[in-house]
Amino acid sequence: MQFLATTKPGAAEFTSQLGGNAARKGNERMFSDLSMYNTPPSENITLEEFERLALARLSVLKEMEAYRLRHANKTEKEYLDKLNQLKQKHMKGLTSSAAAAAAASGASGAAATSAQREEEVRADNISHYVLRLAYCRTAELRKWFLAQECEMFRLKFGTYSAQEHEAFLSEHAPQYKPVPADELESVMPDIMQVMRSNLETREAMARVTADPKFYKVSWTRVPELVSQRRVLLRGGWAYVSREALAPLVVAEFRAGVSKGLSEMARRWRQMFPAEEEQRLQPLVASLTNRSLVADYSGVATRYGDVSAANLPQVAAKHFPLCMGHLVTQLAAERHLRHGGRQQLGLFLKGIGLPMEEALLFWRSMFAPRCTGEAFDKQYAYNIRHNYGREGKRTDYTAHKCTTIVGFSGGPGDHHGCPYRRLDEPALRAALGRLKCDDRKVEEAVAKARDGHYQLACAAAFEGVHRVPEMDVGISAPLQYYAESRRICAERESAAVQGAAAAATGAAPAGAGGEAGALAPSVAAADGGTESRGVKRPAGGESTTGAAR
Amino acid sequence: MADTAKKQRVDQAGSGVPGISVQEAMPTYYAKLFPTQHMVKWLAYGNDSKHAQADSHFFNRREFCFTLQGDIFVRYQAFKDGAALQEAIMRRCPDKIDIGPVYSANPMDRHKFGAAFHPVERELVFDIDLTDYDDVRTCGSGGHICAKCWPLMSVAVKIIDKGLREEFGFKHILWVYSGRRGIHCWVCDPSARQLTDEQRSAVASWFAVYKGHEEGKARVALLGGTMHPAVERAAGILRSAWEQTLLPAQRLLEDGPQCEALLRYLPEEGLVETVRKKWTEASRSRNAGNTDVNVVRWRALEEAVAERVREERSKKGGLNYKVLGPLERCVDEIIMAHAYPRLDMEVSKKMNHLLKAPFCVHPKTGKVCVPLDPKAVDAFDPVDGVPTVTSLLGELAAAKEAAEGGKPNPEAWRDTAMADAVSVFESCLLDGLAASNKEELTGRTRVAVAVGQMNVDF
Repeated sequence: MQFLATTKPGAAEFTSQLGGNAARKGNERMFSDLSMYNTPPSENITLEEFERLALARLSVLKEMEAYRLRHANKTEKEYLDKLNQLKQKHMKGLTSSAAAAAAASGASGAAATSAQREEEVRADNISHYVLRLAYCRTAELRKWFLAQECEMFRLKFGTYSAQEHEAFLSEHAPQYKPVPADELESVMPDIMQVMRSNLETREAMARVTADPKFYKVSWTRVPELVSQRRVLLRGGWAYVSREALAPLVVAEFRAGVSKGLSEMARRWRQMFPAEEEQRLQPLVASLTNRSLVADYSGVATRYGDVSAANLPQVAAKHFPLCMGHLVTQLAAERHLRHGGRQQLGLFLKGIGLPMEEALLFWRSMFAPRCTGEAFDKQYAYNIRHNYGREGKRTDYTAHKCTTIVGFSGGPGDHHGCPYRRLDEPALRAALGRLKCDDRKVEEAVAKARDGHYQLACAAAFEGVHRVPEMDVGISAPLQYYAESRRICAERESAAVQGAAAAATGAAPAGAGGEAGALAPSVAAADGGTESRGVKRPAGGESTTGAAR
Repeated sequence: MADTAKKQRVDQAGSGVPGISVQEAMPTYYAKLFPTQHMVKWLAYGNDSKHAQADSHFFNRREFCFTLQGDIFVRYQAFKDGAALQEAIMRRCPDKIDIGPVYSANPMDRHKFGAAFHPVERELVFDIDLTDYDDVRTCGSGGHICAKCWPLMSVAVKIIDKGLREEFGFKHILWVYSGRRGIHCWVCDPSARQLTDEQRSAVASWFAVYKGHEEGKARVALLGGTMHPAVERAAGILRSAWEQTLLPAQRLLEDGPQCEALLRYLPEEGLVETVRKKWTEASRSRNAGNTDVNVVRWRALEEAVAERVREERSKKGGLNYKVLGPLERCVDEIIMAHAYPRLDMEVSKKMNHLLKAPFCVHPKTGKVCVPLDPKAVDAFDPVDGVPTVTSLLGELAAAKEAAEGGKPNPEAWRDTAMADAVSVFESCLLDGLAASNKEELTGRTRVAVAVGQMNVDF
């Protein structure tokens, strides 16, 4: 399949050489903004629209991700509202002039809306495929794109009615067998018990009793429901209500997009017609380079002065509680269990501690409880492995907050998120040791109590560094570290400048203070692209950047 | 019963052959006692037969890992057949043998295949270790195991076994005592062997009601007043075991700190006070007959909670579920926190996780990892009822003496306690597998025939 080809300069053409697309298209159209994306677009569009649509979708996906990270406990409804709001913000007015003309030319209201809908479907499909092209290139990009797209699909799927679901299912997932009435009668009490145990609302229960429609599928198809115990299992069959089908369809969707992505990655070179390669490839590649995915790989080189010797000072000043806590426990017990070693070890690697220094650090921390020889035998391999020098030589990255919060462990384990695992007195004491502002300690403890662990961590950061509220929550220990380094570096340079200004005596006292206040904002703007930018790039600037 | 007979035999053998260490005994154990043929029969899943669809390379793609003396791991070993396996075991005399997955190619040739080399099937396994119960068992910690903490393992077997059979529909389940302080479970159904890592995680999470430690107490995932039918079933098993064995054996309500720890699960300070008062009253009027003090105190606690629930329910102005919920669940929460199976989740989640093979010998205790019958798990005695390598050698010597003059018996293990272990292995796993293996092969025939017909049609 050839994906992109151009006929004349300035226009990119989608050509699909798959037969039978038209026949399938009719069915897909039924669901105006819900698509399995089985059919690539096939039309001519301008380069400008190509990029504008992709950027708009990218912004929606990114901001949705950021919103989720910061507000992990919102209801589906709130997420959906946010999604619609973002779509309104980014996708509105991007549709081509044809639709606008149709709407404006006094056509009847119904015709105008249907034209607009069609336009939306088109924009949705094109933007999806452009991003697919941009994000198919590495495993990491694919993973991110897949996760965001699935999340969006899941949210949208939830808004559809029973009939629409049924139609959608009969087309995309015929392997679900309806449960016959007599069998359903015998399992119904248990099904109701499952629902009660999952704290389903009374309305949901009433809906099921009023209209008991259940499907029987092999449990292997619903691992998500099984792992949360949200389904009744009997002899290997899962009894799934019509409402609970969403995850299954999402799985189907995920499989489809995932396959499409890897297919595209394999044929990346053939995607672009030879004469257009020069122009299109950098454009598509730039879509991911402007990546707003939080990436802290720059941290290691920016502040690359970490060694086993200065690690304790760095830890005391810049480590988030989850890492500081591990360092403290390690120093006290001269040992850490596996989970803790992984969590801390990968983080240390992330902040730029070289492998030799890491070996030195762990060896000295484990002594004298563990002799050098025993250390080499038991632990050194694992450290080298983390650095990609053993085994399958993968370059492992440090855990993100979502991973760490998900960790659980026994009584002897110290890894995981301290805001989740420590009890309140212990948490207060730990934050006190960090010299966190008292008011912020209480805020962090309250946030942790309500299960907002990342917000608790952000509050602690604000308390420790005495900064106003951050516009981005904490989403990874490395981010905390990077922000901390950045703020301290700014303060130092400000102090130096202030001192210099004072020393020359040329400037009045007021100006010295002003310089001190100005410096951070300049540095912040400079560092923004690397360490935190979860901001949407401005359309104009990116267009010029990409067209070159 | 077979079990008592086994014990007697061990007793007769006494300490087995005196003055011989486990390591010294291993060569003889591997030569005369280790049931290699049975293991191969199991792991070949019928592919060692003459069936037209039998995949003669199937066994050869299975990874074995030997742990040699001095903790040297030799991974990615694979063997053509039982004879090759037996030869390697005798030659290297490993301290431990682990079984890994079946790969897409012979693990010895893995470098030739690069990314195409990946695990394709593997039994669904579980590992439960008594060390994970150290915060709630009072009889010992670490590698300790005794009759007082074994009930924790036996309820675990009952709960997981029943769940696997009734909820997931698995049939071929092997339970093994791990030789020291835990148990392993191997689910060998064809469908179980094909599970993806995600599906394995899902099964593990399904059983994971115990969610680790938080705020000084074990966290169990119970929501609302109603339990999931599967959890309810487990709770039923635990409730009946609680008063009968777990509570008195673990003496959870005898000493101060232990009691305090348990009282932390009660949601209200006032309730804690009521329970304390009831306990002092009970100990003053020491005429509860010969009922165990733990049970007396437990019943007092239950009664206090029930009273409080009744009081809350009879309150006017509707039910306050914020108060009522925690009250209604706290009793079950205590039981679950102390006795619900604590799986080592990581072992179950990944297809390529290694697990120690049955019939290995624990290098420290000398105990053999014997299969155990889940139906008779209560009667299983991990302390004296498990044959050790030295006791087996003793029995072997005794049998040889008894058969003086006769020619050497190649199946001498049949005269030792190993015979019982192997017969459990056969009755719990191999016998059932035979039919399932045949079915699997016939299934392959059907597919092959269908494909063949399609070709003809073209």
